[in-house]
Amino acid sequence: MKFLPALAGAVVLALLPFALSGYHQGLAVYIAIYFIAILGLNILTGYTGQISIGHGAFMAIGGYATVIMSHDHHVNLIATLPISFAVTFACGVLVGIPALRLSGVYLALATFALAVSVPQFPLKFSKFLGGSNGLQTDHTVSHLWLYGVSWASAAILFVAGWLLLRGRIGRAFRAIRDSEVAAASSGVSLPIYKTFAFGVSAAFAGVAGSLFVLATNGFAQPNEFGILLSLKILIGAAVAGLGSLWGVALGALFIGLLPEISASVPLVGSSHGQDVAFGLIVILIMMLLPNGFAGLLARLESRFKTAIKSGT
Amino acid sequence: MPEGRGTFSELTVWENLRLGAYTRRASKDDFARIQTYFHWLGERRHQQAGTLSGGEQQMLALARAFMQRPRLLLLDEPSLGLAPLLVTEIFRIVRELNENEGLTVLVVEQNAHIALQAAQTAYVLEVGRVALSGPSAELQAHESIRRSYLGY
Amino acid sequence: MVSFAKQKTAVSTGVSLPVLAGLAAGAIFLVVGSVSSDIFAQQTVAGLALGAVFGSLALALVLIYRATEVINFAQGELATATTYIAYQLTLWGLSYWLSFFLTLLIAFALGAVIQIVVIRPIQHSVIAVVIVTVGMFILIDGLVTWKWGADLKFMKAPFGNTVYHAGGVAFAQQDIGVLLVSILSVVLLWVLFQFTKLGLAMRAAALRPAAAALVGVRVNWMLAIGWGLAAVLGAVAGLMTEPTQFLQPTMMQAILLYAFAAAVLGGLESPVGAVIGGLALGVFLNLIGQYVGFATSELRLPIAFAVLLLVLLLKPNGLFGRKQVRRV
Repeated sequence: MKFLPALAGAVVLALLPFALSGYHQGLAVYIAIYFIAILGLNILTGYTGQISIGHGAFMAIGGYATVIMSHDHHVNLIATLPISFAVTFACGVLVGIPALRLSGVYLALATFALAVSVPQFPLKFSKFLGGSNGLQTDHTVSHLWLYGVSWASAAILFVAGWLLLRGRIGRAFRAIRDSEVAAASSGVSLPIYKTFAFGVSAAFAGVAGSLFVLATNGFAQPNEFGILLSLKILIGAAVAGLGSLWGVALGALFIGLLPEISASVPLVGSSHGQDVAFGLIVILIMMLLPNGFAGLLARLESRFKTAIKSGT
Repeated sequence: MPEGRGTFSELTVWENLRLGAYTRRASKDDFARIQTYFHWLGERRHQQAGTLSGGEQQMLALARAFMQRPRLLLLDEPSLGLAPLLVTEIFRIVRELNENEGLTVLVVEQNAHIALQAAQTAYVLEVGRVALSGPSAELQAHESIRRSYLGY
Repeated sequence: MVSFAKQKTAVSTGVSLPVLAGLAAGAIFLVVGSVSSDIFAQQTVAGLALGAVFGSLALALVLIYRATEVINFAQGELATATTYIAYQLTLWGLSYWLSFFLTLLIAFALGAVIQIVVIRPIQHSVIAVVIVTVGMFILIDGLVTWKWGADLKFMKAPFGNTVYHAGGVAFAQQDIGVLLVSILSVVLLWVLFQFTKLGLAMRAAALRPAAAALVGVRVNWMLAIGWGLAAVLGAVAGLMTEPTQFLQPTMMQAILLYAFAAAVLGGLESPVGAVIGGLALGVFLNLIGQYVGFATSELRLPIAFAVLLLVLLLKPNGLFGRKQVRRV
């Protein structure tokens, strides 16, 4: 059965938290958050070929949406997630419209501009958005609750993404990525699909952002959503392997666990050492595995298959 | 000289020529010599190469190749995309270079008519093998060549 | 098919008449404003000094983009690192200017080595290069903080601390020095590209690597030299910034962002545009901050990026860029 590994994974995930300490549960939550964000970015960049270094901005929008709904209107926390999805979807489409005119490096710069500018707005409009101290949700939640909600969301969004990408829409995305001209001449409406991709991608990031806020004690602060977040997600997506869903889990694990692992290595120790290790490893991975982990998986898979064939 | 010119459209005529002499030291003599064959290059030296016509660019490419003071010049489809008048002009210059400078020229050309007229020796290639060779005057008169390549 | 620039002159920056007219009008506006209001003049002068630093770093970005079509996200951190190296040299007893020039040499070597070792193997993939330069950003930031710590450090001011006063406006000698150095950099670069064989070869390698290789240009070397030069420009930018921003690991981070905006404004392919874009941006930000109440300091970065976005949408090639048509 093709879905066996996924099902097994789901079972493991469901049982895991009971074996982990609170701290590790928190870590697992962050991995789920990165998972969702990277998945979203992958849809836009890996499948539709539009580079974005700005997903931190969409996460910020989603996060602040959740906080505002909770803080000002006492909306149920779980209910804020679909609303956040819808709001960031709309924002994504709005961004996608002018993005139609840009591509490649120019699009990267424009989204970069977005990622840097959006976190500044809460500082400016501090009356509504809390300034540098940020806003907080009306109540906080336990690690276990968070684990459940975040991984459930991750699972739902993963399945949604998978369904989306294997169908007509996914094919249109891939066609656009490979050759816009060819896609357009085959009847794929570039404006519709490209802005839709932006919307969906942003929506995923928005949900990730909402969960992110919940994970940081319900606080939404501008400096949490800085450019570094966007860069991490991009790195996660690239390391995962653009254009593949399975690598996304590995990418999320990479981003989530590397700081932890490098902190425990004796020579590295301090946070600066972590940065050095992180940067070095990212560079090495890009040089050795240009297609990311997904590429590695694909190669291993084909080697495995040929080994079986020749072995029997 | 590659197929399709390969001139630097964004650079000026003068800069293109200077690049031709990149691996050597270009001297005033070189430029003077170029001008005897390509009269118009001198007055247009500051014009952007991309704004020249196709034929002029082809000649610029030829001039640039010649700036390298080669002993052997390889031309790949020099007549490609050019009006017949220009093709004649180019081959005339190539012949002059051959006769006056002692430059050996190897031309790959599908325009058999002009190629046979300009060259001294010709090789007919079919599917990568030399089918016929010899002095071009002979080949021009050759029955099967006339039928297949010259059209009469 | 590549479309042609509007002029048939030897200048290959593609400057068009409306842009020149606009710039001239802007310059006149600044002069008139400065004469009528001291505050205006002060903000303009300060804006020019600020903009000179943006422009220097933008110049480095443009150089690399022109040569290799890569946006180097690590340019700012490289500049910071080389400035720290200069600092270290002064700690070891060398004079300021000796350290300055030695650092430029080291920066050149560093830039070239990075291109050869890290960029060359992956230069076919846009995403890979973006990620690698981002990785370098993080790596260098970590290395610098690790070795020298995050506290502020100070170097001797290169141009002294005197301040001139003319007609109610204060001109810091430091700022004038920075402005002159930026202009000098552009001029030197222009001379290199337009009049030397090496410059011509570099331009050829950037325009058509295949054709350049055919005439005997060692394209790979040209790219490495391009990166080396860009690193030198970055070092200059860093050393010019240090007096006002003081030496700290995050010194160039904000400036890098403004430099991006300046580079896009000027046109990613134009060195002259980078510097003029930088100056324009500096002055614009200062004046807007002064006269538009809504535009407080938190909005500086978004405003700069609003400019970047507008330019990208309306005239992607910037003020001085060439029109390019996409090959189908």
